[in-house]
Amino acid sequence: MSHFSTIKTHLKESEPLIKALNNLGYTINQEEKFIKGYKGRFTEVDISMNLPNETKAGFKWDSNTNAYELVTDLDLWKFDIPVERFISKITQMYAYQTIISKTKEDGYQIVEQKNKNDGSIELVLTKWDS
Amino acid sequence: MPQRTLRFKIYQDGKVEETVEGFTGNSCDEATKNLEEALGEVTVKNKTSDAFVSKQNENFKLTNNESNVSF
Repeated sequence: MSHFSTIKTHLKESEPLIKALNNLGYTINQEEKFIKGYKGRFTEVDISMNLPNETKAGFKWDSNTNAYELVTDLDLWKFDIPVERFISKITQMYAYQTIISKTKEDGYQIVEQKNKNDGSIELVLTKWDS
Repeated sequence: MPQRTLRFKIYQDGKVEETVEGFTGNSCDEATKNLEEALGEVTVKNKTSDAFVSKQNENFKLTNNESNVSF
């Protein structure tokens, strides 16, 4: 029996999220816990980042969506990639980190990894079961 | 000792396509349950049970039919 699934990734766990941010080269700021967000209001975040061009952003756990949500002041967004693209990049890397760590726990090994022209990442993992 | 294979395609927006091969019975669901939960929300799930076997049978039947026609 085999199956084929499509999964919509949500930023549900902090560990792969932090790994994803590090992997993409975004610096985590341990000291700053308040980020100017919607309507310039300061919001307490769980993960705070220093982005290029003095752009501030963070992630706050949202118990309604059961996921981390981005907090930033869009008026002050000076980072050279649009915020939507920024979220996409993080979500893709989060999915990658989650897959790598969960399959490793289960004893799988990576046999193939390709970065495709369309920007997607292809991964093949195998395990011989006794 | 069958080989278990997991294939993933992670799109730029974070959407993940997952193909799980080489499991017997419903154990393929168990194999990726934790991972799917950690990733997010499964939007499409298709059992591709015996897809390979039935394809082979089809080819076999086709060959048979062909040979019947030629007789």
